[in-house]
Amino acid sequence: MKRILYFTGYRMVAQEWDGRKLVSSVYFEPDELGLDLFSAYLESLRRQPVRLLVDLIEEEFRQITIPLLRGADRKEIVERNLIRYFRNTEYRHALSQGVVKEKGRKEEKLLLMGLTNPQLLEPWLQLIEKQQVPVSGIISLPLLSESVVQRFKAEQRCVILVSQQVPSNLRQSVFLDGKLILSRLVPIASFYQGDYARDVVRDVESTQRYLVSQRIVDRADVIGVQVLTNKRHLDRLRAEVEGDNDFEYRIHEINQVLSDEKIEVPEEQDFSSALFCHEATRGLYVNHYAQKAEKKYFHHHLASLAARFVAVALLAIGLGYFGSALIKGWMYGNSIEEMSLLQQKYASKYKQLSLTRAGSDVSTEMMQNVVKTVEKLQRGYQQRPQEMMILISQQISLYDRMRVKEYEWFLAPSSDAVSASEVSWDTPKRKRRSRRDRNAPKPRKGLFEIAVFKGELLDFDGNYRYALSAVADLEDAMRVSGWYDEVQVLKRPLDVESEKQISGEVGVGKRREQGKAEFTIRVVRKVKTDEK
Amino acid sequence: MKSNSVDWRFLQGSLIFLLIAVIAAAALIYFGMLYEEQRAADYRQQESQLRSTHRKYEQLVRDLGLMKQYTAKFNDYKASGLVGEERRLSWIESLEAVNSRLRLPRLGYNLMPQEDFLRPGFKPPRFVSVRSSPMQVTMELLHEGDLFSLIGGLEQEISNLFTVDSCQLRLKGQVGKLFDTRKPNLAGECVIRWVSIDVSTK
Repeated sequence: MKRILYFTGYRMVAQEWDGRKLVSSVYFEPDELGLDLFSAYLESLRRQPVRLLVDLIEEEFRQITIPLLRGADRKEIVERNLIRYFRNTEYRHALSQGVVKEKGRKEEKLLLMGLTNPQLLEPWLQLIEKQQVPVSGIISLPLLSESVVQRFKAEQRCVILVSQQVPSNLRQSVFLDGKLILSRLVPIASFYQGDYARDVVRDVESTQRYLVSQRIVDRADVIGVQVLTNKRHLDRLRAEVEGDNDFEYRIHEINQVLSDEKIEVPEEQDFSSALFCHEATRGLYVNHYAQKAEKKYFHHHLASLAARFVAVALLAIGLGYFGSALIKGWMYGNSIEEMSLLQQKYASKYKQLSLTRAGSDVSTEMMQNVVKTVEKLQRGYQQRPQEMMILISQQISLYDRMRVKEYEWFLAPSSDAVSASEVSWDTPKRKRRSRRDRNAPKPRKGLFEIAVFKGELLDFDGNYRYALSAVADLEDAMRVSGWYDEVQVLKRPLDVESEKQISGEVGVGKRREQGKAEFTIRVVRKVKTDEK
Repeated sequence: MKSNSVDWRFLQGSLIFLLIAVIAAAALIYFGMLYEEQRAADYRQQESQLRSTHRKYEQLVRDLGLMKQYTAKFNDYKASGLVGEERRLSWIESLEAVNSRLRLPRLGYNLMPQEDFLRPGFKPPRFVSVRSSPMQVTMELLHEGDLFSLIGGLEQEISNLFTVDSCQLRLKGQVGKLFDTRKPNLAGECVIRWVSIDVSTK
């Protein structure tokens, strides 16, 4: 619901509009009773915002041009001109009407307007302020009529809109290129009695003469005249303007206009006020004259609305969040219930299965460990002497004069063990290596099969060169076979190494003494276990 | 004189409403969060319980599977004496039984006290103790094949695990002389290590 206070200079009309429908219209006379009633009416509004539409004789218009400026400079010039032309009133307004180029210089056209007798409004505005009614704007009816005249789509550059809002005054507003340049309210006495049509035409002609005298239009220019009138004067006016070539008259019956605009009014209208009042309801923030102080409560109203909006939004967010938390909680609850059932199911199955393994004093893990340990032992720790013995036998059998007389096979944790008697499984003893040992392969740790075999050559005739060669051949064959990691000759038939001593007797007629061609060979093979 | 100052009385209602809304919204959000967090904590707890129960159940199912897989073998090992108390008498009986077939001229044995089975890199699992008893076997052989027969015979006679630590063979006569089929030609000495497994049920 939008509320319009329409002030004609004498009485105040309060209208309530619901969209395009005029719901109510109340008149308040400017006497004590009227003001009291107006005060009561305002109180009943309960701080709902209103717009004040003024239609006063004491409203003046000036069209001026100022240098094209911006910001504070422009504001200062505009303010200075407003003070210059409307010194005695606070209700003044400047409207930019575009930029013109004069003598190569850009200038801004301004329409200055003001209410020259603000005292007329004061008693009403005091009541409005007293009742803390938010006034969104004080609107000038002539300026508002700019949008009305645009809807008539007149072809002429200069258009005069003639309308009557009260019986005693005729409003003529002049528009040049669609912009209001002046408006005047002239008294007219013939609305109810007299030749109204002739008076209207005479006043229009008078306005034309003024426009020509001010060089706003040329005498030859055809001026468009849009007349808003009632049914009573329609025919007379049409007859009066017929054949007039100086003007292009278009007479509009006000009720027809309201009907075309789909504006609903409770009864047939004699005046145009309903059209302008409806026009005043349009737009969000229309204001021409209201000062900061007059709009204080409107700003308060907006702040209050904003506060309420924020409050409602916060409540909605809070409720939304709480609702969402409740839903999530409910969903969690459902999931908890489902999980609880599932847990019970598992627990029951667990209990049932537990019974099947009851009675076993050894855990499954232990059984698994034992079985795996046994498998590991079977795989890698069941050593036998046969394999290595066979390998050595195969290689020795290639030398038909070679015989083994002692064979020792043993396991050792280090590759440098020489006999089974010195093997210790606890902590392998670190042997000091002799100079000779230093030439031997570096000892390694792990599990090793070691075989030490002693042998000799049969029918040895003292040919040590042959004996040494045979043992060296066997050593090479063993190395080349790749069956062993180490092959070491511990004793040769004759120790020809530089660090050994050789003794014998060689004389005339004396043959070299026949000894034995003995040898000792040690072979080492790493046992493959699956341990890393 | 018109005043531009803020008329707080005009705004009072809206501001109080706003204040109440702020408090109410804050309270709703706070209690909503509290409630949601509580339910989420319950959910997490229940989820953890379910996961724990499920894990236990899975473990049990796995255990039962393993039990099925390992029980028979374990019981076999237990029955054979590989697991549990060592059966020294069985080993000696086995040795004697093998020799009754081989008829070695001499077969002596000396079973030494039990000790840990130690091998480089070999580490039994927790609560499983691998023990071993070294048995020194001295023998007189007609030929080296008797040694293989003795070891092979033991393998067939008893299902216990054993490993040979060392073996020494020495020719009794002169090198190059032919073997006498009626007398022992080789003297042998081996260390056989009988392995047994102890299970700690603690």
